Amino acid sequence: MAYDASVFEARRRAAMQNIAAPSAMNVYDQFISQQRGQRNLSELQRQYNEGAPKVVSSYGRRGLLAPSVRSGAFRKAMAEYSRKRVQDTAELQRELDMSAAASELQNRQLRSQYAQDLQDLETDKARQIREDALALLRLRAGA
Amino acid sequence: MAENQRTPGRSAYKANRIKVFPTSVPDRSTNVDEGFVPVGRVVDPTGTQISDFRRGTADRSEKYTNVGLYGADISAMNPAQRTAYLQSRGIDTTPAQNVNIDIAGALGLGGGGSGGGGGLSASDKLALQKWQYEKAQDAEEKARQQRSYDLMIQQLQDGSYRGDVDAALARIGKMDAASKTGIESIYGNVLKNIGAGYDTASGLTTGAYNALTDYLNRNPNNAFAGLTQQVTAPQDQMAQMLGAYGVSAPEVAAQIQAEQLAGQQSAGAFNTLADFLGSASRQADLSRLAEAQAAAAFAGTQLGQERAAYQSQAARSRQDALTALAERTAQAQFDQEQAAEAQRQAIINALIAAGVNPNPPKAPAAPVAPTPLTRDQVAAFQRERLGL
Repeated sequence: MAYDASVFEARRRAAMQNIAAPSAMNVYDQFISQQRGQRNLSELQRQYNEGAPKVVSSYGRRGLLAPSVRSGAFRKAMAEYSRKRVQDTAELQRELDMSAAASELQNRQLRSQYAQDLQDLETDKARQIREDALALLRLRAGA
Repeated sequence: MAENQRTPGRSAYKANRIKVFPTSVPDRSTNVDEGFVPVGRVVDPTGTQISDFRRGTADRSEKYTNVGLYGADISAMNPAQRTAYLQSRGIDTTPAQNVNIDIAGALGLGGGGSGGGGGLSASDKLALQKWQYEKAQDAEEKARQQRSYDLMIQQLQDGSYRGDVDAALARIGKMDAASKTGIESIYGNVLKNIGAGYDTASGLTTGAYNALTDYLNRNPNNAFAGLTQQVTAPQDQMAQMLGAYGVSAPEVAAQIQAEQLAGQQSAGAFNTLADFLGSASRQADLSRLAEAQAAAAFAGTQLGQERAAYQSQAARSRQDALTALAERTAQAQFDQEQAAEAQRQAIINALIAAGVNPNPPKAPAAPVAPTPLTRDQVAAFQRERLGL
């Protein structure tokens, strides 16, 4: 096959299309995932924010909380409430972070594949030119 | 007198016949026997000399010995050579005056002769004329044959029997030279084409792999470079509220630290994976670059090998063509020489069949005059003779 630039240009476009669609899908998925994760995180924060006054008030009705009273049960309950909030928030945040990292990894993989496709294309181009050059030499030599 | 007037032919015959026999001792001091000059030659009506009348065999043998005729084959010489050779031996080659021998008169058969008988009859005259004609025909045939043999021997000696063989050989030589020039020209053109083709192919290949190497260097596949997982630090969002109630919660701080550690561990695993992928990608890049360089080197070597193979093939073709040409030229030359040799052998065979020596001895070379002595040499010779 003699060297044909259009063939390589077609291959380049195909490689671009191969990366374009998955990248777009991946970006969209990441956006959706982040949006969902942020919504969940906000909901979690809202629930903990709304739940904290109820906990305090429940201990006040039982006389375990007053301006001069700081019971051990109240302190423990509030500490647990706060620890649990930290834990849930961190887990949810970590899931968001991992989702973003996984999405970024997928993007990088697509870019790497595209780069390899272009390198393959350039390598094939050089090989094709080498073969054509050899054929030219043979033609010139009358082989 | 009256008798001579009646028979003039007879008188001439007698006058000439008297000289046949010597009347004095011949002078043998000279090579030429003046006392035995030919008394006459029988000449036929066409003027061809038939034979010489000489005194005798012994005298002729002696004379020929003296002049050295036995040393050369006069019959092998053409008339000019024969004349020159005889004159060099002191023999008078001036054609003798034709002597009309009146045989009829000598025999007393003249029509008005006194011998009686009344002369030749018509039939005798006719027979005589026929005899003379036949003798003349024989002499002419012998002369013609002799000329033919002379020409054959001349062809053998000067090589003219070869005809146009030498011209044909010259043409063959020119054709051979032209063919050699053509072969060398073709060989030169083939080498030029191979060299030009190699230069073109080498330039294309070098350019292609230089472009590939440049591309690989400029576009490394480092898609995973800088890939890290972001770690969001956990926060104690209720610390202010707990502080308002005077609650101290070390458990919360411990949980924050635990979550941070978990996040770091997760990010660490991810970053390790990213590092691995990035490293593998860099290695792939280096490997691909090395492959490109190896392919470029291999392509150059392959082109060089192809060029050497084509050059060798061209040289072999040239040698084959030259060898074939030499064989054809040698065959053509051989054919020409063989034809010439066949012609030469045919002439020799014809001469041998006719009893003629195809290789007559050549006339001896003229004596070379001695180089005159110099005055010093004469003086030295005199001193030696006088014992000085």
